[in-house]
Amino acid sequence: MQRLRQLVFVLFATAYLVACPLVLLQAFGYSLRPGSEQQLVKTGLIYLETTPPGATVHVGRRRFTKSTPAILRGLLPAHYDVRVSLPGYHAWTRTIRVDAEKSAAFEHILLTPAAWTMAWTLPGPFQELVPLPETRWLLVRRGATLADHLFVERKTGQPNPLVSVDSPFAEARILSLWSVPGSPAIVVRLGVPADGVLLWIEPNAEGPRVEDLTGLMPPGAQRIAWDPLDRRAVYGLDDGVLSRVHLPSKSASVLAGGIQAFGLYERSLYLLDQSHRLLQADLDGKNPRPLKSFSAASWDMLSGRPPADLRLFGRDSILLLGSRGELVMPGAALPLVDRGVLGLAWEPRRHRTAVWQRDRIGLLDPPDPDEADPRIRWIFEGAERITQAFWAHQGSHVVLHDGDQLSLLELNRASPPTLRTLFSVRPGSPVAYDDDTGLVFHLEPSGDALCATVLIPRRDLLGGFSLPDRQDAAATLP
Amino acid sequence: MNFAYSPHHLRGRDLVLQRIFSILPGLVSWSVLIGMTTLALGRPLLAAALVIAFNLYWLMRLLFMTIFLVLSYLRLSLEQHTDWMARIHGLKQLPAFAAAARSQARPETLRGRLARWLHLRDLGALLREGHAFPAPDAIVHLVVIPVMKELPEIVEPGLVSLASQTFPSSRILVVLAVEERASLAVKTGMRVLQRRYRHRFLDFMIVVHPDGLPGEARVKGANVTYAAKAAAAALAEQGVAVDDVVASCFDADTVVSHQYIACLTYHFLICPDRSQASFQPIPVYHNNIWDVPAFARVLDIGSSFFQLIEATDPERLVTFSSHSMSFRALVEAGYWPVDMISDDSAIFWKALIRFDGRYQVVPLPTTVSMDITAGASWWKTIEHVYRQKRRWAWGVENFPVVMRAFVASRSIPLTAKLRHGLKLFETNISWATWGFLLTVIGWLPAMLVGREFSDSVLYYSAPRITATIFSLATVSLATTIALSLSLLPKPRKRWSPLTTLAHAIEWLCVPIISTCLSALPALDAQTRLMLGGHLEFKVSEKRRRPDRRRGASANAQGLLAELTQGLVEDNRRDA
Repeated sequence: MQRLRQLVFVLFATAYLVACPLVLLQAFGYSLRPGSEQQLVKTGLIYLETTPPGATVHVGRRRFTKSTPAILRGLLPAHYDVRVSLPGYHAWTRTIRVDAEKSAAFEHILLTPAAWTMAWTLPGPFQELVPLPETRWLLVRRGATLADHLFVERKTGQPNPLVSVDSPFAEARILSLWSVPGSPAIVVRLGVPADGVLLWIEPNAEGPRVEDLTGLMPPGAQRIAWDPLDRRAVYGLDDGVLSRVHLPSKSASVLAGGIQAFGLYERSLYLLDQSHRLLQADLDGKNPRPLKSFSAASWDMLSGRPPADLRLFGRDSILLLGSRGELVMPGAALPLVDRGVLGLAWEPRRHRTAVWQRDRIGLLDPPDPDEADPRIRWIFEGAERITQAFWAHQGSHVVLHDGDQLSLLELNRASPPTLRTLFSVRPGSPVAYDDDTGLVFHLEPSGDALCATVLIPRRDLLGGFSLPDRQDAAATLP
Repeated sequence: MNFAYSPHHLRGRDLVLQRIFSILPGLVSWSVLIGMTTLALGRPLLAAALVIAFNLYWLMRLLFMTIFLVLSYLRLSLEQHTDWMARIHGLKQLPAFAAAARSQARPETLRGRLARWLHLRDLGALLREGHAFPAPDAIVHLVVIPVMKELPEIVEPGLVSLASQTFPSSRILVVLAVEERASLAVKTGMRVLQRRYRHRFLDFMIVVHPDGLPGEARVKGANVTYAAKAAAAALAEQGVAVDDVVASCFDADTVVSHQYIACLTYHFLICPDRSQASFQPIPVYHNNIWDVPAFARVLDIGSSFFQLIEATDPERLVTFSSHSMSFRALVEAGYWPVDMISDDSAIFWKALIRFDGRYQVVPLPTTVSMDITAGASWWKTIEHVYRQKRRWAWGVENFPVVMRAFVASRSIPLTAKLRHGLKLFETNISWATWGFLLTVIGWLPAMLVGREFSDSVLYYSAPRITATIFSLATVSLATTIALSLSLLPKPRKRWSPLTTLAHAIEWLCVPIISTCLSALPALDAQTRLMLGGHLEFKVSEKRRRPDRRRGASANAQGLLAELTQGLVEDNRRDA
């Protein structure tokens, strides 16, 4: 047995000494060049993963035997023409550069269908869609009055009126409307014949919940907001005075004066005072704690203008958007953008923000300790008129609402961003996108119907049920 | 070589060496774990390459071990029905016995033919070597059983198994080594056992080990050493030569197979250097195997399998748990260490150093069955198992002492130093690190993936290679499952297919169990040693359901009844 053991040991040791370097070389992408030369060459690979999976892969004219997801190994450094195709979908083609020992990974290729599928449609006509982001509701408008507005459930397309037909406010015009991402409620200021009335309206399966805030909120409040996690209180800012209305008791109180802007995030109140200090306080305005301040350069740029909009994406992800589209970040020495920013969309997976102007869109990546100041990386320019942007498909794509078109911007480290036009929507009306269900909600160009179009097919058994407190939907300018 | 085998009371150079070698295992284990974690964070490409190299090495070791597990199991299985007493008697007239064996008809079964082939091969070797054997009838066995808090129901099945040996029990001296600090119930219980079984053996002594003797720690080694010295005096009084005595030190719960002493005697007789040898059976944990949680069962079956594999490598085999040895070797080596916890392995190292590297462990193709440690509840069992494995891993305390002796000795051959030193070191390091590397740290490069790594070819190659390695490892796992199902004692009730499947699935928990209840206690022990800490010897708790005793003790009840009846008749006769 001892001799046998020694013999087997020698065999195994030899096998290991031979196999280990070979396996490691193969793992690092080394390959034996075919042909007469037989030399060891460094190779790279291409990784392709599609939604939906099972697409055929062609490299040049050669068809790859496996369907997606697929790894094309042992590729000599060069440029390769890759075509991914699936019946019923537009083909995806790229010229991909492969470097030695490197991978060119396309993990979220989204194949767009040749013919769009509607999950549901709601006959109109409608004038405008108001997205209530990160909720299971939409708001559509047929006319100017309160009765002309409908809550629509995103999953089923079921419409619900904002108020009952016999409501005294039914025929009143809506002058202003406020909503908060993550909350299905809206606050509306009404005009004739209910001049100055301020209502809190929240959709409900049994019928909308309506609270009259008239007389409680300052009539001139320019910005009204609430915490989606605590819907008992509504906050309003009027001429530097921040007020709070407690809904259950219908009582109002003044929290602070000299406030430039405010925001709410996860049961905390964020205040920007006149000394350009950013404070974090309890929801009742107590226990204010100073956070990072805005630099003098940023503040100079904003001074003398109407209150700015404080955007809170996380406790450490705070941006200030000025009324002329100035974008500043607390703690940064210089403004991020001087003017013209129209909107921001937060991507929680990689903690980055999409920033868009009229004709271009860029990315604000998480702060890099090696860089002095964060900078926006403009990734696509030459758009017609961007009004909205949404992160899609696990942060791998951005859905752009550009002019009257919806487009899909594919982001990938291995290649420059590419834009694909999807379909036309009603001019002037916003759209909504839900990445959980993969549905785009939009009005038909004619305005005859509200449609839920399947952008990304989902196979989950829940049927794409969207949770109300998601964080990854888009934010748009109010 | 005369060497004080103790980690205590050192001065000067010895103290420095002791500290250095105490730190080394823990330092290397922690360096491997922290180094790999740091590499995974800072240099993921290098870390991933090292993980692949390690996984491949692990696969090779696993397959290598599986081959010898199967061979060792086959050997054990082949010798299951060997009549060792017939072989002992055959040694008196070896040529005639060999001729008779050769002329016997070939067995019909493959197993029988293989067993016959092995026997004839061994006989041929004995005839060629022409060694003289001691008279088999002069051999006396000394069995020392340490008792601290074990009650009679734990000790008695072992005594019954000794009384029912094929070897004459009248040549077995049983010594119960009872601690003075043991409870009155334990002491009374042992007295009852002595009264019940003393006439079955050459003698049945109870030696009470006084508490707090100078130079001793509260360890098992001190107790059994004290008892063995008392037994030596008793044997000398009876005129038994030291060379004719084989000493066995059994845990209190040890139940030996009915052929154990015969098998041991045969191997002792045919061993040319029998006075410089230990004899290691395969420890199995069958006494209460169906009464403990699955994780404890899997872990101890794993321990048995490890010993089965080790049995195929006598050159590096170290004594473990219940074992036997030449009494002369024991006396000359100065008995078991009295201030170390890991006495079962320490006695091997002590003898190896005493005999200048010329000491061997002979694997025995037979089993001794013990209890799996168990607590009153599932969580208590985890606690007890963890403590027991940590105590086993505390065997690392031998490393600094052995290395000190190796450094000091000029008479131990360099090859022996390297062979044993490297084995001792490597075993401890792999024990403490492999579980973590395979289940946690090996996955870190992929889990903490950064840009540099995710852009590389390796990022996509590594999972495929790892998956292939783990797929090949299932060959070993499947073999282990099959062997475990065939080696285990038959349960009282016939298993349904679902139960069989459940017992097979238990093995899928091995990665978690081996990390939490094997690698972690080993790392704990090495860290304590590295930091100069110590471990208190605590007797593992044993629990059996009295009505569900299994395994080698399965026939104990019947035998017990028979013995009790015999005792009654003896008493009647005496009256």
